[in-house]
Amino acid sequence: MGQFSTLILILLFIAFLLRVDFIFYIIYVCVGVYAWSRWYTPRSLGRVTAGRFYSDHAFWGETIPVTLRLVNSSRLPLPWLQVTESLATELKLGEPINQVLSLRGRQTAEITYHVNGRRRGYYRLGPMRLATSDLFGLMSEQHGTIPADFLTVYPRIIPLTRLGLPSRLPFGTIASRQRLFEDPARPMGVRDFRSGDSLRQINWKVSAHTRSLVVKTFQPAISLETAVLLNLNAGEYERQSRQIHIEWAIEVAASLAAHLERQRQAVGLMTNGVDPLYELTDGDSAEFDEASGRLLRSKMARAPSLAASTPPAIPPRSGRPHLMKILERLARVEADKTIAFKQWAPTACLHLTWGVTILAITPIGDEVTCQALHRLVRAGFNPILITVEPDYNFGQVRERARRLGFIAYNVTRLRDLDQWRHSR
Amino acid sequence: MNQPDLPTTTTSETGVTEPLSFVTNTWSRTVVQPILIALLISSLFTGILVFLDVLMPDAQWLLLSFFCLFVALEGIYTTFWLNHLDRRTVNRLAYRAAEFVVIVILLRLYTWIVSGDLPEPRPLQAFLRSPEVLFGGVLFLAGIVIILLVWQRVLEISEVFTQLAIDTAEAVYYSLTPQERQVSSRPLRIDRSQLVATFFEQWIWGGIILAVCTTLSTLDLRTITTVSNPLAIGRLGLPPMMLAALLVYFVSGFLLLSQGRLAAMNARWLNEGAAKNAQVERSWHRASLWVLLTIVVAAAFLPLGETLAISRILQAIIGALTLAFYLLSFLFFSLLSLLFQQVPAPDPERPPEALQDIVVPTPEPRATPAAPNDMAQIVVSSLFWTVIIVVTIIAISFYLRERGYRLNVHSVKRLWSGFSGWLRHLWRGISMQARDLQHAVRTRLRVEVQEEDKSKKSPWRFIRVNALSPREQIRYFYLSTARRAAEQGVERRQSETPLEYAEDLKESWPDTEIDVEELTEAFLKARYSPQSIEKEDVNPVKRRWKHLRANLRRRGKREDEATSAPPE
Repeated sequence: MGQFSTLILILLFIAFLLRVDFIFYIIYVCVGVYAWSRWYTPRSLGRVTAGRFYSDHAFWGETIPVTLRLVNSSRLPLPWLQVTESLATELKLGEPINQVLSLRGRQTAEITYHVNGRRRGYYRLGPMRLATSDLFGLMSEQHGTIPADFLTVYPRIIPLTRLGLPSRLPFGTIASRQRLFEDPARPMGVRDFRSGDSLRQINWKVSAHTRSLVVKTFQPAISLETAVLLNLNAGEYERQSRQIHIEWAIEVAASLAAHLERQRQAVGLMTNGVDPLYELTDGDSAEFDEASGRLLRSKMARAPSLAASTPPAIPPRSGRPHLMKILERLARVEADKTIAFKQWAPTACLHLTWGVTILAITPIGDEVTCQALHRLVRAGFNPILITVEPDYNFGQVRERARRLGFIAYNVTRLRDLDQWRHSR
Repeated sequence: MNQPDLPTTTTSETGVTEPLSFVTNTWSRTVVQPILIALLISSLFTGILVFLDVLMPDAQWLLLSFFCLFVALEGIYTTFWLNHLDRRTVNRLAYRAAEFVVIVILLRLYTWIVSGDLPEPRPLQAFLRSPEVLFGGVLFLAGIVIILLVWQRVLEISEVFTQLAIDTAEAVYYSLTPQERQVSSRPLRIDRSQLVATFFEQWIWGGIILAVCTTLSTLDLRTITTVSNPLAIGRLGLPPMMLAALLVYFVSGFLLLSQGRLAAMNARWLNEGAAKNAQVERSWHRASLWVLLTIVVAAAFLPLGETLAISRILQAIIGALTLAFYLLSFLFFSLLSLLFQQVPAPDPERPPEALQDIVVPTPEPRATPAAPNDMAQIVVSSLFWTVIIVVTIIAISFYLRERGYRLNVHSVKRLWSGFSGWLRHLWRGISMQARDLQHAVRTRLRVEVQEEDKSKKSPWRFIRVNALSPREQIRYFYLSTARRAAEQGVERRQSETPLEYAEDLKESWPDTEIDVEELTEAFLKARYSPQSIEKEDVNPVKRRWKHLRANLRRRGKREDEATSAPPE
């Protein structure tokens, strides 16, 4: 640019001192081009507005279209605009977005790309970088940034048809074979009166019609208010396959929660893992893994105590929005060296009402874990142990659980869920 | 995002474009850029030529500007042509040398034509004797220098734009995934931004040179000697050609700058793996053209020269600065002169050094100019012309051959064989006629000798008739018949043609009429016709000749007997 200034200075010298009038015209042209480049280029980028249009929640395996909309609100055209969108590797589907386009005056351009939710997580889309410059190289390149947006990919949900979990609550919406809890709201038929039957159960109309006493029979039902107790204390998982089993535990938790919501049951979530988004305070900015694009636990935001790092419990509620809340938490939650299960489980269940079924998802069913669950039994809850790491002596665990008053399942792979997937 | 309420058009982008879209547009590469480069360079040198025209108005300098344009276009297209993949094996140095020789030859012809000084036949002989006339003319000599400079500039800038352009191989290479790319096919790394900067620098300096030439061309150089203040030199109007050159130079320079910038950006986008919308290139060209045209038109309506207030202010500032500079200079030199005045003067009592004897150089006898050696001059000039012609032929043939104008050897051979056949035939005819002429001369000489020695020597001479050629045999038959007829009193006169002589013979011996006619006719054919005479043609003539000879012998004997017999 210094040379261009030299040219203009020399031309000015010639024009003024040596009185060559036509040189003024050349100066006007040179200065005009220079001034246009200096003036218009920064402003042209300032008149461009951009945004992303997409669904910010995606199920596992779902392909989401993302539309980048660029609007040139100026009347003048923008000869070139380079649009570069940063995208997480885990989400990429096809070529990265690095597009050069031109925008006429008041034109809107749309760039559509797709992302694929291959892994649960909380991802960042963008930031989108815009670059433009003048046509003659007289102006340095101008850059603009459109801030990133976020996408939550839920964990994989395996459809479960029938869980067959026991409950201590007498009323509910799930039909049960336990005759103890018959639901008067679900009449099933009539039978002959037997001694000891309640007079309130006599069906008088049918008795008058048949001239013999008959009583109503009711469909037994249980109420399955459930809390998922997800153990994500990384230290309790086997080191070699830790990541796989943690993901599997989260998928099992998500599948159970989704199934219970589908059955219109109240479900809650408690975990001793870490939610990086929960840890962030107002001043902190989220950190994302450069390679995968997932939200990372902020180094600055690491809580001083282990208990403080765990996200708050989601109490049992029914309804789809509540499930989405649980799934969002499960999408973001990460295992870490937090509080141990035996310490955490009794305190986590303090706020739960009596009789709630607690689905305790832990890596193993060792004695300590069983003792912790036994305490829950004694506290009036209905714990069910679901271990996710392979255990060849799981019979012992099951027997121990039976003796301590709860049921234990070993669900280490998809096939183990078959007992709950196929309805009779 | 807050969507502004605008009447918008929506374009859907897929994000995938053809990598070949990065290849430099053919239209830009082959038409727009060559024309712009040619205009840029020729306008720069037109400015210089205008200045030369003001300096030396006698020579027709401005006519060279058209040739500059031609040379610029030729140089650009040759550069593009040489950079084609098919011509990688062409010896560039040799080709460039040949190209320059061709350009110089064309310049010589051009200067001759435009100055109306085409060589005429008589001066052509003078050229042969004094070849230095070929290089005569200021226009031609200065033209060589200017054309060389034009050519060099054009080659440099066109090389810059050739390197800036993205070819198909490069586009294809960068469109592959990193795993698919082969090291052997990796294109050379070119710093295109640096190339654009180089062009920009050259353009700026060219603009400064042009501005200086513009200024100089407005000065009235005749008043330089009459004024003391350089700013008071008389002014001339700006020549229209200079005005056009200035405008064309700067506009074409800006457009080329835009083209170079686009090429550099294309290369960067290609390298980054960006997908380019097809509209970008079109929009770029259109926008740069519109911006430039708008500014050029708008600038035309702005006030020029000293009418501007700012111009007056600046002029006042410059005047003040000049005055300050003069004052400072005056002070500096005044102090300097005071300082030197304090230095002691040389002692006046010191006797002057004895002057050395001035040796008056005796003038050397002027060498009398040697008489020009005509032979040596011809040899030297012949050598010169030989070299010039050989160099010209080699240069033109090399220049044209590499361009695909190849000489068809087969047709040349065919033409040569036809030409040599014609030459052989001509030679045979000429040699035959020469032989006939020789024979005729000899015969005439022999006849004369025979006439002289008729009384002294017998004319008898043995001739083996069958050893002669058919043509010679016929001639022999005729001449021997004529000799016998002459012996018997019917002599052929000097001025008589064979047909007239045949009339005499028929008149003297009417019974030999057919023999004489046929023999004469055969003789005429043998003597004057170029047609070949075969052996078969000789036998009927020989029979006629024998018959005639026998007839003449009989008549001779009869006459002898009549003369020897005693009179009754």
